Amino acid sequence: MKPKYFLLLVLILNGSMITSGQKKENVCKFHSINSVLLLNGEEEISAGLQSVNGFQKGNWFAGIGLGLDYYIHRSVPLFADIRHEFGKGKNKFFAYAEGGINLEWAEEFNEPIFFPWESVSNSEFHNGVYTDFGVGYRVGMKRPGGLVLSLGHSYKTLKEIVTYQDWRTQEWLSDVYRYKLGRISLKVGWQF
Amino acid sequence: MRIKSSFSALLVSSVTLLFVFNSCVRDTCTRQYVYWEPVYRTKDEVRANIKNNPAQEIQRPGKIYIRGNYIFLNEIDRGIHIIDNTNKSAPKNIAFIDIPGNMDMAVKGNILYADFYTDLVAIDITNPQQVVVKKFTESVFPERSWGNGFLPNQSMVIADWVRKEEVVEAPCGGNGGLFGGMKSADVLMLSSGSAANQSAAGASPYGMGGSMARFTIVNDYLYAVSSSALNVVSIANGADPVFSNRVQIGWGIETIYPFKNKLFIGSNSGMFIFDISNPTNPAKTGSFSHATSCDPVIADDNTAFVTLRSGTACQGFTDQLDVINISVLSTPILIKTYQMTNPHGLAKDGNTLIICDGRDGLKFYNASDVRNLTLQKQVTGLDTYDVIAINGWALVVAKDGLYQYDYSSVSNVSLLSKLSVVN
Repeated sequence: MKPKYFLLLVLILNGSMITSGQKKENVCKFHSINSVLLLNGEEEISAGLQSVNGFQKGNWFAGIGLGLDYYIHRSVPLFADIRHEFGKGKNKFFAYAEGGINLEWAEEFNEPIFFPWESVSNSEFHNGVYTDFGVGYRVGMKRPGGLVLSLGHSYKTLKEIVTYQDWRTQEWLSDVYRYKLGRISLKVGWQF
Repeated sequence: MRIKSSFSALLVSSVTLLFVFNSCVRDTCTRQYVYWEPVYRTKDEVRANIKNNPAQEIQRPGKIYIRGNYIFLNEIDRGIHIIDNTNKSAPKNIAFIDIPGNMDMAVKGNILYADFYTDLVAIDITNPQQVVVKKFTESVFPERSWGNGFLPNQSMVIADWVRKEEVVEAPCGGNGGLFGGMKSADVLMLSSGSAANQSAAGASPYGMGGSMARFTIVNDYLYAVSSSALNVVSIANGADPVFSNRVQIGWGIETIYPFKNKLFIGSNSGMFIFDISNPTNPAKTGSFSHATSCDPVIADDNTAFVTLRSGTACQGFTDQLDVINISVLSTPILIKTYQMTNPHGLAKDGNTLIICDGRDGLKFYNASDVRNLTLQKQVTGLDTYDVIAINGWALVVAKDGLYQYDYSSVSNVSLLSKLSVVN
């Protein structure tokens, strides 16, 4: 399951390069925004990658994004992105909102525990939700590129189910861990 | 140049804000878990309740014992179901004897012997619908005063366990970031195997148990294995059992099976053979070592059959049947190994060897040639634990209930009845 996220990311990136060469003026323009993320939350500072691909008409942009999010539990957000630019000219402020599914890709475990007696336990992660909203600034460079900087509030959830055998009843029990993780996200990227 | 510097200024501002706003975000992580809380009673209260109480649903079936038309089925840690099996196609669950801490039993004559935590209780079952406690013999099983990873209140008796569910705040991790996820369940160090699921069998002129037994009766003595000892209790006067001896036989003891004047004891490291010519002082006459695993054993004149299984508390990764030549008891020799899925209890009826192979169900082998066991029939769809087999009738304890089969024609095994487990 995991390698397909990479494959999807590569396909989206390749698709964006091919399609961006076919765009025309005064119609919906295809853009690809590829960013690196710095994620600062209560627990730690972490990083991520993101590629948003979509169309722009006027000051509005709507697209689909896929990312890698390493904050505490690695995951792959798949989301819709909508943003609105303010003003005219090459350099513009913008506001954005992203929402979608947070695909699990955390490190699961399934291993014997040897103390005090052997017990095989394992964990299984389940998908959650992903949101991110904030403001940014796009610096127009040589057409059609642009440097994009944004700051926002990012939120992701995951569920982990840990199963193990009860020492007394031998019953298989499940502990359910619910992770709701909020972060400030700083994105620096390049828009084609 | 101007753009470059303004972008740099924005970047620096953003990084600053990234840290300023950090106090505005929170990680909220919870753990929802199940635990069992002990319900304590005084010893007198618990003893007074060891009687015929109304029948209860079967929830966690353990050892089985049959005597006449009655089946005694252990409800692990809670007591014994009495099942009227006059009609094998329609057994009736008629009563429940509350014996907290009970895991094993054996019957001789009209007396049923059962463990009650550290004590042995003798119960007159002349009328299974009106049983009478005859005697408590204290401290026969001293190791039962503690549990694995759990130290109970020593002044009281745990009469029951209540299942509870709770949600608490939990650490979110912290070993994540660029280096991946975390392993969150520290609590697992407390959750692991125990001897709680080991079972009871034994053969006596009056009753019969399964191969997972830890109690057995030979003539006037009850032999009961604990995790490290063989306890000998004189039952010459059935209603007045007297503790006679305790022989230390090493750790990891699991099952006991009698044959003539020998006891075959399964441990997680091997099979031991004890001679009981002197019944109060069993003497080790031979042993057969194997890979670490759980290993119920049965035997006849020349051959022992040992199932080795993996899993919690079994401390191993072996799932097989070992067939062992015991014609020279001092030097048992492995004849052949057969691979299994997760074998538990087993029984032999003439040339038919019946194996409870865990989730693979019940397997019937033709054992006329032990070097070439042939699978004749496999009954699937049940997770089997232990079996008693008598003259074409098999009583099977499975995860989801108590099954009875007619295997008088092995190629056409038919289900007689099932008493279901209620979750």
